[in-house]
Amino acid sequence: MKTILLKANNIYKSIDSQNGVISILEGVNLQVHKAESVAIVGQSGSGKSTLLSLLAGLDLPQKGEIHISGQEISCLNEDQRAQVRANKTGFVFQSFYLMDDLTALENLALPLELFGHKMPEKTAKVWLDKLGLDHRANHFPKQLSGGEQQRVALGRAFALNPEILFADEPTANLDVNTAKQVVDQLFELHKTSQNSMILVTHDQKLANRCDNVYYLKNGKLQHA
Amino acid sequence: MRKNKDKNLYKLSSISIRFPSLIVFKYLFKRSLRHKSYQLFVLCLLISSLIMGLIGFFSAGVQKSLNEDISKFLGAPLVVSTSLPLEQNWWQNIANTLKIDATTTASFTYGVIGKSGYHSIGLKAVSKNYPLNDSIKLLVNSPINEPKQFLVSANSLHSMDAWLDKRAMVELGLKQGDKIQVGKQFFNVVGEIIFEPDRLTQLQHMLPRVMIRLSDLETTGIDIKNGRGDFRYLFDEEPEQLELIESSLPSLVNQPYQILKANEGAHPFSRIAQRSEKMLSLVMVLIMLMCGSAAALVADFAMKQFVFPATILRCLGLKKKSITASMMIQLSLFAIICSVIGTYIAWLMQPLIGGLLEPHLVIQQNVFDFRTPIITLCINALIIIAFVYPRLKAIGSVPITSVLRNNLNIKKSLWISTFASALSVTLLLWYFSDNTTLTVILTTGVVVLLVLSIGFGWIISQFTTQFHRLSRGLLKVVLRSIGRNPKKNIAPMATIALSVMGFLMINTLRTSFIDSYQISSLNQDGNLLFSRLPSEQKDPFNAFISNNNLTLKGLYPTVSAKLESINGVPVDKALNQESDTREEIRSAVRLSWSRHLPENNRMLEGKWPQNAKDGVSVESEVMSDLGLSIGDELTFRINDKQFKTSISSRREFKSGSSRMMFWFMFAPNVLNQFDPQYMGGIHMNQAQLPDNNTVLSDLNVQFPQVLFSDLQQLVNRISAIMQALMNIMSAILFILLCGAFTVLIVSAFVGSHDNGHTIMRSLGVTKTQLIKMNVLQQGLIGLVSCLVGILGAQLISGILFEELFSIPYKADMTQNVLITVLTTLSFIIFGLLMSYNNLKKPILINQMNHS
Repeated sequence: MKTILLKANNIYKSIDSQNGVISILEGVNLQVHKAESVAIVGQSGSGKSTLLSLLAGLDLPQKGEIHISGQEISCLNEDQRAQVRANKTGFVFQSFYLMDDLTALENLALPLELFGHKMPEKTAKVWLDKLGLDHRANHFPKQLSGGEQQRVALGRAFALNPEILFADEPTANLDVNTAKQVVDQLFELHKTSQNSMILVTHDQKLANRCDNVYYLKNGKLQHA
Repeated sequence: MRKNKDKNLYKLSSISIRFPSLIVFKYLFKRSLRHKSYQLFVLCLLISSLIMGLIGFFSAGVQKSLNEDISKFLGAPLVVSTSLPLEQNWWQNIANTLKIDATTTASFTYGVIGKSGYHSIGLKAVSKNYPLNDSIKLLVNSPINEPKQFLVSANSLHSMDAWLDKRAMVELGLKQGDKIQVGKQFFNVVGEIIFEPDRLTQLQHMLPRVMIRLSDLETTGIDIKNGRGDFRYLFDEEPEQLELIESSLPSLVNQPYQILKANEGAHPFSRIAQRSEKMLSLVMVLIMLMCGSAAALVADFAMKQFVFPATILRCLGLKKKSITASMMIQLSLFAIICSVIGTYIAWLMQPLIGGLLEPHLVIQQNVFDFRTPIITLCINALIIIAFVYPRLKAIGSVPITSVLRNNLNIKKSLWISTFASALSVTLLLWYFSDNTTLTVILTTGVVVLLVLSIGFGWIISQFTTQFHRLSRGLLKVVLRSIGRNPKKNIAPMATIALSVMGFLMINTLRTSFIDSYQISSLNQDGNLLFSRLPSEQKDPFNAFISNNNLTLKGLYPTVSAKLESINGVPVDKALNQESDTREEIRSAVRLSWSRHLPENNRMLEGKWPQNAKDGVSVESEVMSDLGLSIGDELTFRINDKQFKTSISSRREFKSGSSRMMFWFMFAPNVLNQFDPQYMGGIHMNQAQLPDNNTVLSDLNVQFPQVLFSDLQQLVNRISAIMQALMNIMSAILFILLCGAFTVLIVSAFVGSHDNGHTIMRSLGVTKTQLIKMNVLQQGLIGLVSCLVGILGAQLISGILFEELFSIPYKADMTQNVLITVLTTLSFIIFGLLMSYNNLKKPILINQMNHS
């Protein structure tokens, strides 16, 4: 029996807007096992990114519980959740979110440096080699293409060997060919590292490569 | 309610406008007003206009009040002083023609007989209306009630009545109701003078005072034409009328005269007024520079938000010119509104601020008219032209694809606009301060500071770039962040360094001002000045000094002369326009001589004269004011004889004490033929000071011709004025600090690190770690900026103090350490506030904003 790495029970989330309270999630339940890949699909504005933020511990639900590796994160404060993120999760964003003033190598080495890795730059170089970006090590994000930026972001997310990887529309800003390269690399890394992966996407083809696909509609999550 | 508001907005935005710039204007105007950084920029323009207006009104009011206060010591705003009486009633003719207030006084030393015998007194004969400014305070005995004090003018002094001060009463053994004989005439003593406004500016004030009516003077039979008197003609009216009188004096007065005004003429208070004028204009200029720098810094933030909307409009087919033009229209509008509103609020606040900050001085209120906001408008316009326009132009030139790919690197060329604005600021500075030296020194100072900031910024970026390799964890991230953004850090560093420099300079000036005056006055010159000591009494005088354990502080031979011509051309024709400020030199000057260059002088050009052939050494400022140069021939008239000489050297006065200084000095004994008199200072210790000793009475009796002047009283009074000035400086510094902290706190909420923070937080960096990073980064920037500012202040202050205020500059290390600690602490607080602002929102919302 596979170990459950992430468990979400009855998650509710709403936001206050100028036009009143908008309910985004209404009792979402989800379980993700070790080394499993899960895709969450849904229409724009259905709340996919919000759900991902909650699952990753970036935000808190109004109601419900979220457990990562058996630890409930919905009752933790910001700093405790930050420690969970540092130790157990990785994140890949739609807009890459690399640090503008750091080179590709430094961006990759950043989490290693911050969390006391012994040889951050050496490890980062290994990762760049693995991603085929060794010739871009000293380039700044502005000097990289979208695909290259996203690959650096992938390396950064995997550098600390997280138990769960969260990816928010990782190919939305990329052309078809580049997107394919990035996705191939993402799944290869997922396979090699044997971590769990939760992916939010519009792309049905990408979703189909995952072990399980869920639809988010009207605030509820349904298995495909 | 909400619906109505939306409806109105809809109506506003649906107005049909054809011109592209106006369409852009309409679109961007609504958008800008909602953006935090733009609101901050407008707020900054408003606050800087308010502060500039407030300080401007305040310093103008203070200067007016100070001049008013000082003119009380002269008895009137304009006084013409001569040593011989002028033609009868000339001043009354002027008064009648121009319909102004005028009066006259005649003061001289005279011997009178009282109950206790013969005594030297300072006799002052006054005409109606004296004094025009302030009043005489008089104590009058009443047969029934207690003695009462009254504030009176000479109109209350009746014919054959006399007012005496307490010393005269005691020394002459008189009381109210007794009679005093002056010349052939007897006068009734009817009041005791407690306060006489212009006494501190007259050398005779140390002698016991007897005041009678001028019309009674003739009946005494005293010959007033022996050249020992001080005849003063007092005028009071609007400044324009007084200027008219001044300009007509050369044709009306046919003998040497001196003009005494609050900030002009040879009286002890004029130097304070001149210095305070310089000091306040310096403060005003520094405030303008600081406000301008702060607004320019915020402008940089504010303009970044226009990159995306401008790009969208460009995608829609609008020309970049239309976008720049519309933004300039919008900003010009804001600049005008902020200048007018800021200045108007400052004008409304001036009575409140004046009363709160300087309760001892009645601060005169300024008038608000269409010209009032011009200075603030000019500064705001300069900020927009120099710092906003190039950015707007650059925004329109960023490739659209690059912006859409989230690359906001705006390449801006600021050189031309920066040079143009720097030139405009310098011209404005020169125009408003009316002081070339100040303009040159400050402009050089700002340039030096910028060079220092850039130099230090470069050093820091190199240092941090190298050092971050050796460091680990958070420190590494922080150092790398500073090192990688040298341009981003140099602007705030220059602003902070400039503010620290301004603050230190104002504060040091504030403390040095009074200290240097008191120390130099009392230690160098003694506290009792004397003049008109005849040559033949020099030795007995020296003997008296040593017998009574007094200390002689300088003994200078002097001859009174009139400058007649320069290089054979009469003075009136030879002098240029600027020389009007040296009216007193054209009328009467004191010539002196010495074997060596006096201690408080510094030789700038030429050698000290050793014999008659070597000519005369002239003071530097006088030379430039009169347009003189070395080798020029000067002709003086001394005692109806002509004396020709040529200028051989140029020197300057080193310190601004009230030590005796002479504009024209010769080699020893050159002017002996003209029967010189001596002047100098005596130092008396506390026990020997007037009112409780007999030394002064003995001096008066033994040397009746010598006039004594109590410098201690003067210094006390000057100190009181200085103290008022220092309070004002403290108040200005307080406003400045409040303004600086407001800008710092408000800008902390603009938040320029959202993106970095969000990424770090998503990677698992805790809030505590982020706060540590911010605090470390801001603390480092604050510390380095402050050190640059201190270095700048030390370099510039030394020159500024010596050149502009003649005050020796001494660095205050305690102050430097304190300001470094406080600035660094402020930046740490700034870092904390910035962290609070960035970390209070959940990461999700931040991400949505960025997306």
